[in-house]
Formats: sequence, structure tokens, C-alpha cells
Amino acid sequence: MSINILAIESSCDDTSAAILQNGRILSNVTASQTVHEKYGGVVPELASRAHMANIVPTVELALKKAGISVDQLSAVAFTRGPGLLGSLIVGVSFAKGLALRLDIPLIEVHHMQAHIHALFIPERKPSFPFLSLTVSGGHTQISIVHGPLDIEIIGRTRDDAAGEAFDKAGKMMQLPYPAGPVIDRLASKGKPIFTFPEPNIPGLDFSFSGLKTAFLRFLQHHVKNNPDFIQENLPDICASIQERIVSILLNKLRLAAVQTGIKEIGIAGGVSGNSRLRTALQEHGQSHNWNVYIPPLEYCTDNAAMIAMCGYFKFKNKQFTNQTVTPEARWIQ
Amino acid sequence: MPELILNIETSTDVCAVSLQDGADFIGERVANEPMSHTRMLTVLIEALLKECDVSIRNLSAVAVSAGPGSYTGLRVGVSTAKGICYAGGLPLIAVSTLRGIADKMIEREGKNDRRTYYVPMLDARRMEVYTALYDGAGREIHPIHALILEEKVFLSYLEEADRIVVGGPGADKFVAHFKPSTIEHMEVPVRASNMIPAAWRACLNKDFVDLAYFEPHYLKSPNITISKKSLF
Ligand SMILES: Nc1ncnc2c1ncn2[C@@H]1O[C@H](COP(=O)(O)OP(=O)(O)O)[C@@H](O)[C@H]1O
Repeated sequence: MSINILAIESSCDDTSAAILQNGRILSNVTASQTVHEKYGGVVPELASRAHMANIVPTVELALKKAGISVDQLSAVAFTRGPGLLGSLIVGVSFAKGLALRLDIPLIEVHHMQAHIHALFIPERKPSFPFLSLTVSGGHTQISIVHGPLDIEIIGRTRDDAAGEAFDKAGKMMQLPYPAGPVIDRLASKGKPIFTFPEPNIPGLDFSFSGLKTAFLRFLQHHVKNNPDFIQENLPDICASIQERIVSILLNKLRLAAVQTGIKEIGIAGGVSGNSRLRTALQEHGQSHNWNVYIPPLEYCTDNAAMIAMCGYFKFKNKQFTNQTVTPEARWIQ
Repeated sequence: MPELILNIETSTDVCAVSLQDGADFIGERVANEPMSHTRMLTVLIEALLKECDVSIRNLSAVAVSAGPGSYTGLRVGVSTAKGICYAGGLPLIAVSTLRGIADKMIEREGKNDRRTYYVPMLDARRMEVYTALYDGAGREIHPIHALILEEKVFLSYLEEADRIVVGGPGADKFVAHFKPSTIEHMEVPVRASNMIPAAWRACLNKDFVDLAYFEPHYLKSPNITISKKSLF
């Protein structure tokens, strides 16, 4: 009998549903919310309201695209956290109601763990143990992945996440939210001619707050002399800040590879969609003899396919949750 | 033909579920612990179904309190109801929490008197309540609105009605504060069984809401402030 898993992701501002059959993703549908753009960040109350309106159509479309009916589902996997409480509540409650009526198991999934599971979606998968650099809007981590559900975090950010660094830098330049993809696009037309200091953090931990301050001072200094400095130099400024963020990430990843001796290397999370990070990692891989794994773009930002993949591993281990499960906005791994 | 309807009431601190067959009450479960809705709602549903010896597969519809009330509570109730309905291909019924309280008051008095006005009230912040106005025949005189309580706020109703009866959690606040002499008070707790008459009416009239796009009565648009502080 086939294992059919419905996965639901609603941790932030995207409502996503996916169907997995026996380890293969059959569909992955995401309703993105554009209402937040004009506020320069995700507005939790608006996000929650949008999830409420999106959840049924998204699940329905995922089932339809997969050619699966609700009665054929073996389990429901859902993001339990971390994330925005009002957003999580919609996905978690919907999953609980659905599982109750269908009398099938519930599987809770940790959003950050699931980002790593995006690496198991393509045909070519990393072998264990591998290193994962997980970079998103809320987290920046290096982990040793010993097995699908055996993940050891060996480095993390002490302040801002890499995605936050992109978004805050973008906000200073008055770019729309989220600024990460916008900086990526603008940077492709510029050159990294401005330099910013590399933070001096020992070991495998990250810090981006110093860079944020340095970037603000840099802008203030130039704008004082030329009020149009940002507009006139936007592509170069973007290429420069992007280059520094990417080099901070890759320098730590290289250190982790040296320390652990692991040469199987993957990236995951929203920022792994960054085109400079992707090519820089490929180049690094070639010069350091790494086997590099990069998920397709649709599995980098928040998506339910990665939740389904994590759910599949848990299903095989019979790691189920019961109906008392609640969302965890700050779920520590 | 049995018409088994599951009622979900999560718009206040009370998390409650009830089961009805047609217009008749079968059972109810209530958890009074605040902030427990996310954990308790489906657990209460399971317990209620078991106690009443009803399989969830035999439900014909789900009714959910549509508010007004706590946003978090409403989200838990509506999302859970959508999950059950979607999985079972069931119709969804929305019942105003205030309508439920008014129905309870009218049912208790059993008079069907158009010259009595019923004012159900739910607590909002400070001296504010959510309220609506119904006559004894169940007709809606004023739809749901937010109101700041003052001593004489309901007295003008006495030009049209002989009696005014207030009820629900917001009315407790009103009575305690103003001790009105011309207005009667009935204590009516928020319960899922309050929803039974309205859920049954909706079922008979096939007055179902759109499962995909239904949203609870938020009443207020979100309060968003944008920082305009300049960095330069
Ligand atoms: N191409 C890109 N370049 C840089 N940053 C990006 C890119 N695409 C997305 N991001 C950033 O990724 C973050 C979102 O990551 P995601 O994994 O979707 O979020 P979450 O933190 O909710 O898991 C945002 O900060 C966004 O700016």
C-alpha cells in the first residue's frame, strides 16, 4: 500500500500544502501573501487572516494536482513551529481537524529541520554524514546531518539571521520587503566595489549585527556628501553587501568542513535561493573537492514539500503526535 | 433521517463543543481554562463523540461560532471546523456568538414576545462590549456592533419595547457597574449548546457558508502602524 502524506506549512506568510507518495513529492502548492509589502515586513494579524482564507484552496489544489483524494491519505504532517503563533494556529488546527475526521496519524514537524529535508527531494541526494548550512529569515545554522532525523547543530547566529541581514540592509536602502531577492536581482547588474568588515567571531557561530551597523554608517556617510548616492550606486552597493554576507557564510562553512573532515555539503533555507551563494558554493566545491547539494528554488523558501519529506521519515519511524499538540512559536530543537 | 450537528464555540475564554440531533441537544463538553483552546478543542470533540456514542463519520454538518470575540479563539475554532468539514465533505454553518446568547435568553423565557428586547453582550476591553439587539420573536433589530457602555445607553429602546433584558458575559459588567433599575438581567454563560437553535435553522434553510473563504467576524480592521523614522 502507498504511503500518502499531506503536509501543511503556515509558519509565516506563505500558506503551502504538498502531497508526498512513498518519498516522492507529487505536488507542492504555495499561496504567497503580497499584503505585507507596503508595511515593510510581515504583519502577523494580516498573515493569520490570509492563512484562514488560503488554507482550504491550497490543500484542495495540492490534492488535485497529485491526483489523490482525502480518503487515500495515510497521515497529515504540519509545521508545529517555530514561527508566528497566529499563523501556526491556522495550519495546526486545520491539520488536527482533518486528521480527526479521517482517523489518520498526525506528524509534527520542526520548520528548521524541514529546511534540511528539502535536500532529500531531488534525485541526487547527499549521503550521511553531511554538512548543512541552513540560512533563512529567522535562522542561520551549520549542522552535521548524521541521519534524516539525527541533526546536530554545530554553529548558529548570535544575533541576526542571514536573511534578516539582507532584509535590513534592503530596508535601509528603502527596497521593498522581503529585500533579499531584490538585492540578489540588483546585484547581478553591479560589482562588489565597496568593502565591509568581516565579523570577528571565533568558532562556527555567526554574527551579522556588526555588519548591519557598518552598512548603515557607510550609507549615512555617503548620503551626507551626496543625497543621491544610494540611487546612483544601487547595483554596486547591493553586489557589495551581498558579497560580504555570502563570504561570511562560506568562510564558516569552510571552517566546518575542515574541522569535521566532511566533504558532503548542502545548503537550505530561503537565503539558499541567493544566486551568488549558489554559484560561490559551486566554485568552492570545485576547488575544495566537495560534493555540493543545492535544492531547486521552489524548495528553498517556505514550502510544504520539505514538511512532507520530514513527515515521511517520521512516518516510517512511527513518530506520531496526538490531538493535544499545540503550536510552538519558539520551538527549540 | 438523523441530522447530527457538531457545534464549536471558541470565541471567548470558554472552549466548548456540543452535539445535536435535529433541534435536540445530545451532549456538551466545556473547558474553562483560558488559553487552552489550541490544546483542548479536538480533545473535547473526541471525548464528546465517545460519550454520546457517535462516530465522527456520521456527522452531517459542523457549526462554528463566528464571533465576535477573541481572535485566537475564533481562529482555532474556524480552522478546526474547516479541517473536519473539508475531510468529510461536510457543510459548514456559522453562528454569531451573540445570536446564540439571545436564542438562549428567548428560549428560557419561552414567551415569543415582540415587545421584549434582548441585548446579548460579550466583553471587549474596558467599558466596551460587542452587542446586537433582538426582539422576543428572534428578529434582529440591530446587527453586531461594538459599544461603549454608559448608564443610559439602552434606555431609548424602551420607546419601542416594554422590557429590556441583557445577558451574556458583557452584561455582567454592565449590571455590576451601573445597577440599572429599568433593565432586567439574565445570566447566560457562553456555551456551544447556545448554538443549537441557530444551527438547526441554518441546516433547514441550507444556509451554509463557503468552506474555503469563510472568515470569522473580526469586527476591527487590524491596527497597523508604520514607522516613518528616517535613517539619514
Ligand atoms: N535570492 C535571495 N537572496 C537573498 N535572500 C533571499 C533570497 N530569497 C529569499 N531570501 C531571504 O530569505 C528569507 C526567507 O527565508 P525563508 O526560509 O522563506 O523564511 P523563514 O525564515 O520563514 O524560514 C528572507 O529573509 C528573504 O529575504
